[in-house]
Amino acid sequence: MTIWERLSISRTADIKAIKRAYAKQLKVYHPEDDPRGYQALREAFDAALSFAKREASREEVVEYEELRDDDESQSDIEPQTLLVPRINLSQLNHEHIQPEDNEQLMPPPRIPLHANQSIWQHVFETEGSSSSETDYNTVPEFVEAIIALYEHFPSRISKDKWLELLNSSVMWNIDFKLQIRNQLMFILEDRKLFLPTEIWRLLESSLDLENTIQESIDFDDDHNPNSIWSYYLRQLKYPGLRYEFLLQTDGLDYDQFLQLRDQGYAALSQNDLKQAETYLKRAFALFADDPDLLRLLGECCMRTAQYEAALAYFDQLIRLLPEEIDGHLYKARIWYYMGQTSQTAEQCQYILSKWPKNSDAVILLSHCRMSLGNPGEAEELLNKAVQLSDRNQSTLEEQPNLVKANRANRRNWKLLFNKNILLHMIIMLVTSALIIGCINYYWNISIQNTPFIVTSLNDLELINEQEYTALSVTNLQDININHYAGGVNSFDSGFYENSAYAFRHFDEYGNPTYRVYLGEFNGQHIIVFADPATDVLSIQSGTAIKGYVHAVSSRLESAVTHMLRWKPSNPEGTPEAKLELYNKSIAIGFDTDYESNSVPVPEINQKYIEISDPKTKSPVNKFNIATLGLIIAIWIRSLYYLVFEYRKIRGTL
Amino acid sequence: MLGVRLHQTAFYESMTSTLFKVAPVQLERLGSYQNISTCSKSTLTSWLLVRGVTDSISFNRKLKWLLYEGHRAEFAALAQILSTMSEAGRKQYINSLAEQDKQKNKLICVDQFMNILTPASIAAFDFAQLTALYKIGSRMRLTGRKEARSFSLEAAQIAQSKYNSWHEYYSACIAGSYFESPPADLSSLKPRYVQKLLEATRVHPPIQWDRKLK
Repeated sequence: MTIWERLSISRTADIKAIKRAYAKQLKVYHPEDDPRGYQALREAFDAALSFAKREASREEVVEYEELRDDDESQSDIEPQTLLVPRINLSQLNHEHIQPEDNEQLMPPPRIPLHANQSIWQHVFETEGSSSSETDYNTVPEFVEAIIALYEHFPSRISKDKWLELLNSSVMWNIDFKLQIRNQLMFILEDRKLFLPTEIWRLLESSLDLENTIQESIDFDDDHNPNSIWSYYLRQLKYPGLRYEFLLQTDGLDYDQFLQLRDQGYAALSQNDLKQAETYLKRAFALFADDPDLLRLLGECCMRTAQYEAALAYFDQLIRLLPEEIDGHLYKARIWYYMGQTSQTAEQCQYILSKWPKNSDAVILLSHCRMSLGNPGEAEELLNKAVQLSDRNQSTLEEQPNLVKANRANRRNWKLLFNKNILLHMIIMLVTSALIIGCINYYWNISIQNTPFIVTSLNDLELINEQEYTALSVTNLQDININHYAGGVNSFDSGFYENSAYAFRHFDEYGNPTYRVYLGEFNGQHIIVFADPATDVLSIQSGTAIKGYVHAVSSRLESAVTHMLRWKPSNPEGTPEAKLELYNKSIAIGFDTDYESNSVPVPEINQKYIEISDPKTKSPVNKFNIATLGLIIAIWIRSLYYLVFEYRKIRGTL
Repeated sequence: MLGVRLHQTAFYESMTSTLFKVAPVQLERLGSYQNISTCSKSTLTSWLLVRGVTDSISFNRKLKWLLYEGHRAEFAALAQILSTMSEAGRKQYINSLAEQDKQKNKLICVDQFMNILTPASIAAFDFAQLTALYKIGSRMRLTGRKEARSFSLEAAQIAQSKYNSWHEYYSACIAGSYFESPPADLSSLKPRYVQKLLEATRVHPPIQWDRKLK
């Protein structure tokens, strides 16, 4: 598709027609809807416009020559020398543009940046050329002026010079402005320019390069972040480095220095420290008194922990610019990193003497005071920092509220509003109650299991049947009586029988529940019940026997009396007497023979003692110990949290 | 053994104290490291949700990120850009940014803090979060107790190696908290920071900074 087809007009040198066609086609190829179409349209428009301009120039030249022939006076400057071939940007994208009718769209010649200054010497003879002499009406003139301005370093960094230039007549023509922009882009493509940030912004505000560059970056998939366009955008976005210090030196290759400095700056921004150090040191070798370079070198050294080297650079920076805070702040930080608290403090105090409102210095000084073990001074300094760094009045006004809030917090704490404290306190109270209860219970049981020692008949009379008792019984003898549960007669709840007889009739009687003995206690006979398995008779005389005391029933008394009174008819110790014993039953009726015997029966105490272990078990068992241990552990844990929480709250207040 | 555990717990409590004090209001219910054991699980779930943790996978991812990268990486990247500028240049650059610029608030924070922190910058904040996360994870069964204990100890030991005192640690932790959640009114950032640092200075941790924890 040709440029005329793209614009949907026939070939013409009418600029207005071309512009109208472009405006019409913009509705078809909208930048957001069809970016590629829009780009092609834009290029077609540029090419068509260039063509139209060229056609117009040819006509001007013809007219001029005609006028010159008429006018015999000649100007000093040959018009041909002013006619620099225009740069045809349409040659940049050959695929989109095809020449028509053998029209040769020649590649634009490169404008040498080291132009022969003698040509323009009559324009820039001194630095202070008046503006009336530097007004440009054509694009080539203007572009050459830019180049010349750039080549002269002092002028390059002069904002006034640039303002003067950008105020030229040619800049007031929109079409020329467009051409100038395109040519400047072309120059930028060719090489990197080094200008102060304010000059870049001046150019940008005049020529609006950013949008065009951004569009080309957005549509370029292989965009290189280190490209000239990225560089240009960086110049606008970030604060640049200073140039005025380079005026102090002679014979410096400015561009080389600026190139190295800029590369070092870019590498440092990306934290490529090795590259940054290389470039910056090379720049330093060319010119050592640039403050920005010194600052960058110092920063680079700091990042690689080369603190001594960094100090040297910042010392030099301070010598060059003693009134700038950067060098001083950096030194304070370096001393702080090196752990040199006294030197840090000294440096901070110096900063504060010159810049009393610098909160960073105050805070660093407070760090030093803390390190030196002066928390009081550190607090004072931090209070000062609060006042210094506060820019908003309302924050200061909030401080009384903070104090009130703190007091309120204290009151809340005093009211035990703290949930954690409440929780742990409740747990502690409950576990304390449980521990006390357990201990009390175990104590009672152990008391119950401790026998009450009976020493007199009176005590024996008064003793409780539930109380565990101990008493010393002497002369224990076996009276051959067993106690059996149940009875021959099913209505009996228990009965007594001669043990020998029951032994003989074991099938009928079974195992006895108790065996009955007779002993002496305080001069009186006392009945003793014992488990048949217990060897009571082996108990030494006088040893306390433990058990529970019960009242003697009439049945028991009868059985004991009966057995005591009964004597065998045969002599004792003979087999016949033993046989008589085996045949003697006291449960099945009473034998009346004994009543006629006048064998005296000793007085028997109305209480008998049943030998047994305490009815309540000992509290010392695995389960009880584990339970008590658990409760105690919970108690200790709650106490720990309680103390912790209390200390925390106290600390925050 | 019990003594070592008590010391570790006291250390973790002190490590995370500023984390909870500077936290946004709705998360202050967490209160303290010890509270993690007793507070409701819904509170812990909210805390995790705000930090992008919804299950064990995201939990482990968050832990790894905090350990190896964390907020300190972003802070360092922004500090690298700002530290190449002079003080005047930094102010000019930040003021030139549009209000809607997402980086602006972060850059302001970095500008305020980068000159008053140690070379470890805000690593303290990441390790405090890591320690709290391990305890929460253990409670919420996102990680085992032994693992949580072991990694908490590691985080504490790394923090001990990077800072020299509780004061340095708190300075960094508070800065990190504000870097993660800057206040709406950024002009009050420095006063708030200093106020919190002042409060932290008044609290005496129950354990020495350089105490051996193992």
